[in-house]
Amino acid sequence: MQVEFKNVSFYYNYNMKDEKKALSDINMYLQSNLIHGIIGSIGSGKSTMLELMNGITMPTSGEITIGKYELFKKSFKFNKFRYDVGLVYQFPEKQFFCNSVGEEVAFAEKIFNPKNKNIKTKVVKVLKMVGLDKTYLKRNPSMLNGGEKRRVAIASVLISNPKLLILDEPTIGLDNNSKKNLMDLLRILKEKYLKTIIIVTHDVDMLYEIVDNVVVLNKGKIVVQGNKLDVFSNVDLLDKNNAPVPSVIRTEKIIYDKTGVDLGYLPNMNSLVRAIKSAIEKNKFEDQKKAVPYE
Amino acid sequence: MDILSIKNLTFRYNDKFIFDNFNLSIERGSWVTIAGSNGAGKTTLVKILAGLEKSYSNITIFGLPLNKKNVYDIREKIGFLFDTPDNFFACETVEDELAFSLENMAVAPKTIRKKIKEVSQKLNIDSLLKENPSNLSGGEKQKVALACALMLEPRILILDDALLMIDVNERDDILKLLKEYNEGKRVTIISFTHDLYEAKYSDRLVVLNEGIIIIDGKFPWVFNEERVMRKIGLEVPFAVELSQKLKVYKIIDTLELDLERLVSLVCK
Repeated sequence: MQVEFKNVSFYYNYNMKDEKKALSDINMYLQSNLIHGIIGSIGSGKSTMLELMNGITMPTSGEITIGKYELFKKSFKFNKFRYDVGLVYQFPEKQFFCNSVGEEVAFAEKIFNPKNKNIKTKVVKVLKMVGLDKTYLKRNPSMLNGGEKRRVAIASVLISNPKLLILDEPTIGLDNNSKKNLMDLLRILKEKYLKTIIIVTHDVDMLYEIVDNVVVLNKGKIVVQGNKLDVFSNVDLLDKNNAPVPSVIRTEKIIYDKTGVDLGYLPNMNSLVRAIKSAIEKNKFEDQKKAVPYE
Repeated sequence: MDILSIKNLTFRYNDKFIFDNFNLSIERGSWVTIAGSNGAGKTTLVKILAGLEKSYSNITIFGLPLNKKNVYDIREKIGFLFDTPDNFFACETVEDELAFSLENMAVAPKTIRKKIKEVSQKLNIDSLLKENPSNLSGGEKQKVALACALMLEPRILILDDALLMIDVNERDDILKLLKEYNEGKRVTIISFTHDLYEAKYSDRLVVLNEGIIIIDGKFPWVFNEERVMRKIGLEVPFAVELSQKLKVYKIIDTLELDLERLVSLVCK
């Protein structure tokens, strides 16, 4: 499900004394069946953009098209849209209110599809998608650990089978193991279940490993957008706009600045270690140091 | 001298023991980072220290036993900061929010204004003073919450994942500022987190797992236990993990927290 923004602006408290510009003149196109990341410093408009995508807030001006839905047009039907777009908030587990995981996950289905008699099978299927088995059905969601809670929250959104899944800071407050599991889950959702996924985050190290495309925001404007390699390789531009830079790329950049050696595209830390090792074995750092004065 | 000591703490939710005979003491003026994965007992411990959870224990803070009689006196001198500041804002503007607690203590308006200026400049939130706290982003809210706590000049600052939403770029500035308070004003900082990067600034790192202290020591020594940390799900800072891996290939022989220093060692 693709997402398109055309000249979208948004002001908090529009036309009031404390009016505050959050987004201005945003144009972007996010392709379907990919993982997109939205990054930027605090207050750059990330969360606002996400609320616009989910139709929670209405843009002050401009048009938003998500799949076949033209948001806030006359023909626009909210309930069908809600079925197709799933939003997972920051700390989604704080919204739990049922006594068991089964009820919690089934809640949306009961509302969207009250005539469905096979809710339980559907719940089991969705829990399986997020890597939880049947034994969780009867457990109390508040007694689960952080990673499991987050999975249950994602399952309760997946039950309505959304084509577009939007996550606001999905890894916040999770420990490393839960984080890795969540990243694997998102990859599976994209590859096996063909979902389009949009992640708003400042955890760029996580993002760098799973994302396809990146949008960088600063002060309510898009600084750069595109393929992750193109975006992240431009470290100076990211620094200038207070956007976070993945640690692997940051290290490569420091090495480049110090020695002039370009280690090339490295997808993760292990490849970085291998690249450093082979550069040292081939005496690349030494050669470059000698070469610099003669340039 | 210990500003806080916990002796024989036992606490359970229903029939699940979170702490069983737990002991910890914290020295006055130190910065202690208490790390642990989800479910290690961090938040429970914060709640116990705030007097929000009843426990069987011998806790003394500022030399006073933590009980019904003393809890309000003790709380007055402690700044608590939680991971989600949304639940805590009560005023229309950031400025009112900062003034709120001091106004309640009948501090002179002139002093309050002076303090607001000082604290907001330090935290770089002076441009937000007239904003409504609910319009701010997550990271800005956490900075405002931190400012509110600093307004009261607490003797102890207890942070429960309170810097979670602050940007990586800005995190160092905030941590440096806290270090200033810690060293200059001798504010004891107890930071509960699973971000081990804070170890760079703290005097002591304590790692909790299932209510038991499994690692207790100083940087960089503690990171020799990096494998244990990773096993219980803690995220080791990038530079430490990278130096650990480079150490295996004998490219370097120390653990580093700072990327720049690490690269200079690699490329020397």
